[in-house]
Amino acid sequence: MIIVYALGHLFELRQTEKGWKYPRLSAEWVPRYEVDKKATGIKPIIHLIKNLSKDIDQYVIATDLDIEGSLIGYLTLVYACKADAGKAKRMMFSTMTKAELERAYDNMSNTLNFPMIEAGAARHEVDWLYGINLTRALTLAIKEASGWFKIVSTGRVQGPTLALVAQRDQSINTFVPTPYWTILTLGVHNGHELELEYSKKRIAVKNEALVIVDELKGKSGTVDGINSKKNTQTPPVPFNLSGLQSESYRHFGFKPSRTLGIAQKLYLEALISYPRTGSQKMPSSINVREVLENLSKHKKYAGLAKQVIAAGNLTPVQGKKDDPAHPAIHPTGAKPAKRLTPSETKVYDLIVRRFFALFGENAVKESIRADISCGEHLLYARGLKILRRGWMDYYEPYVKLDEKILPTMTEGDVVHLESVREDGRFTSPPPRFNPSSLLKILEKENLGTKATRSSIVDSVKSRGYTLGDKFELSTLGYALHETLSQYVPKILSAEFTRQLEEEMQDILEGRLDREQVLSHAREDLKELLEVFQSQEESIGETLVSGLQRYWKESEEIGLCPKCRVGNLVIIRSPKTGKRFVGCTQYKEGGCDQTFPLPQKGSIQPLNRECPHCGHHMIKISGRRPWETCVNWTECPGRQDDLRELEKRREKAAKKREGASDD
Amino acid sequence: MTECSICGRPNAVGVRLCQYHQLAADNLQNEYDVWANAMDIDWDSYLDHVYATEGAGRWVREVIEHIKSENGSLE
Repeated sequence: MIIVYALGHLFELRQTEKGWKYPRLSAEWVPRYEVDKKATGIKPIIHLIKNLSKDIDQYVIATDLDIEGSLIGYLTLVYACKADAGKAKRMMFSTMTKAELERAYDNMSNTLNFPMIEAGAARHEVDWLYGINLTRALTLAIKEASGWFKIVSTGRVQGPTLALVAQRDQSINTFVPTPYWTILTLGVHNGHELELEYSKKRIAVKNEALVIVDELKGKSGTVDGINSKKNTQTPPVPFNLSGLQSESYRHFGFKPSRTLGIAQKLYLEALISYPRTGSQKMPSSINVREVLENLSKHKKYAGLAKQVIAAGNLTPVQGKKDDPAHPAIHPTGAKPAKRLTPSETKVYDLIVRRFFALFGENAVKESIRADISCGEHLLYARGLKILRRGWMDYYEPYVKLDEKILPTMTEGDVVHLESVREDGRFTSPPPRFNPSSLLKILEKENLGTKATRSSIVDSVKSRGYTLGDKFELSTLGYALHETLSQYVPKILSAEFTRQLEEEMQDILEGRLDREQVLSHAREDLKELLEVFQSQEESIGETLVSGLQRYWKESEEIGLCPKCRVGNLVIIRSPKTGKRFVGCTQYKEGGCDQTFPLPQKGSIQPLNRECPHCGHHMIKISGRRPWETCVNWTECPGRQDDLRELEKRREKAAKKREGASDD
Repeated sequence: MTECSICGRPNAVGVRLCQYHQLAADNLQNEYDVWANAMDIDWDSYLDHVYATEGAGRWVREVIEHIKSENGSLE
């Protein structure tokens, strides 16, 4: 028996007609290194597979059981092994444990899943068609208008994603806050202080708020009634990929692509089940007792695992979403063969504790509200008590127990209003997207797939369409969005992309074939490209003016502090290739003001001044973004920061030494 | 004039500002009634208050700066 691995996709699509033009509507599968010059590791693998493919009686595909995995297996079989895919067999598994792999080998399917392969191929072909043609159309429009070669890319899912970010950004940038007032009241009941809530949460007119304060100040209220309500909280549902990504972002700040990468490593180590799943269900075929018994052999989880087994309920709670190929993400119970990294430990711990929580009892909370009347006014005292922790015991520290105990109160009790004041507040704009909330909305809008969404979220940022970590649309993002919405709004339409997603689902379920979907996609694309070609000049001009604004904003730092005439701009030395800050009056006015710049990370001018030395502030984005001023090498604030950093390092080193002595 | 007097983008139809700054200006105009009703405030103080409030949008602030640098109105 020969077992050979692939390394993701070994083959990729390449246009069959020559020339960096559009439209280009036909493509062929070729080894990836012929398309991507960086894919140097691919050639030896294809060579190895070819060499091993001599005198083979039977091929078995054992790649991941999803669209991408099926396509990788099929392409490798057909193009590297030159084998007949109709005769190949398929192993199907959701975890990489020895037992499951043996079971999958003994029970392999006699045929490949061709609808899945066709759907995968169609997705690649449609994405290739849209990505390559639209990107070229935009780039060539810029070249035609200005002579510059600046690649501006868009794609089938990227367009609607950009539209979602742009829409949110516009709402934030055009937001006018409006004032409102709340009444903050502190009462005393039998010597206990109580926070009281005024019955009307927001008061729109200041004078009304002042009158209320005036009427309540120094008065006492009477407890009119006490209402209590028991709420049952069922355990959280099993993790699918987006659930895990969302929770991992919430607790650890890991962006979705990072969580997926970590989960993939844990899967390859046979510690968890296949992570690219949409399922929130744990089918009965999973031997949960065995998983729990295995987990009870881990020092860290032994107590909780034994507690779950002893409680006797081994039927996990189920979620609504299903995925026929894989169950929800769960631990296998296997012990790590090597030490996990801190990030892997965090994600693994989250998955294990979530798994335990599935078997927990419902949590029961009691919310209590005491109604306190004072003249015509009504105030509430609220409390929350946890009567039964249930599953929360298993899921700690990933669940918050926000208890608020109310003192014992009965009807007729008097509450003295010790302090009453109005608090002026303002309405807030909608929040900016973060990687997790953007991923959630993509899932809600059915844009992209569970496997591709996190990379789409990353690409919006990596292509310069957003700034910083908060998905604030950049001038380049605006330029692209404005151009597309003005000339080819269909590219930004979620509806259009969703329709294509549904057609691909139809292939998977045998209602459509790949050729029908491709032909439809080509026709739609041709229409879009005709619009592009007929308006190329205007599209190019709109993009160029947007790009000019983008470069101006991303390179101009502010007024030169020396000559007060020129602007400080980021310049790259043609001799050394290093970047620095210089004055635009260098040639005309002879201003020689320069500042050195950090050479790593992208630089974003900030519209504010350094509190220590008054120079312009900049933000350096990299793995760990930091802010400083252009005078950073001399700034007294920076010197203080460095001294603080040195102190922290020394302290951490001492702590480590202390720990190793123990 | 065909360019937004604030940012240089093309003007929205029939106005002096681009579509974004015009939307910000419309919002600013519309919310004045809410503020005036809430705290009996004149237009100039309203602009100062909004400018100083944390959640005010970037384009709203730019419109306010523009109004202040001209004659104090949106016309």
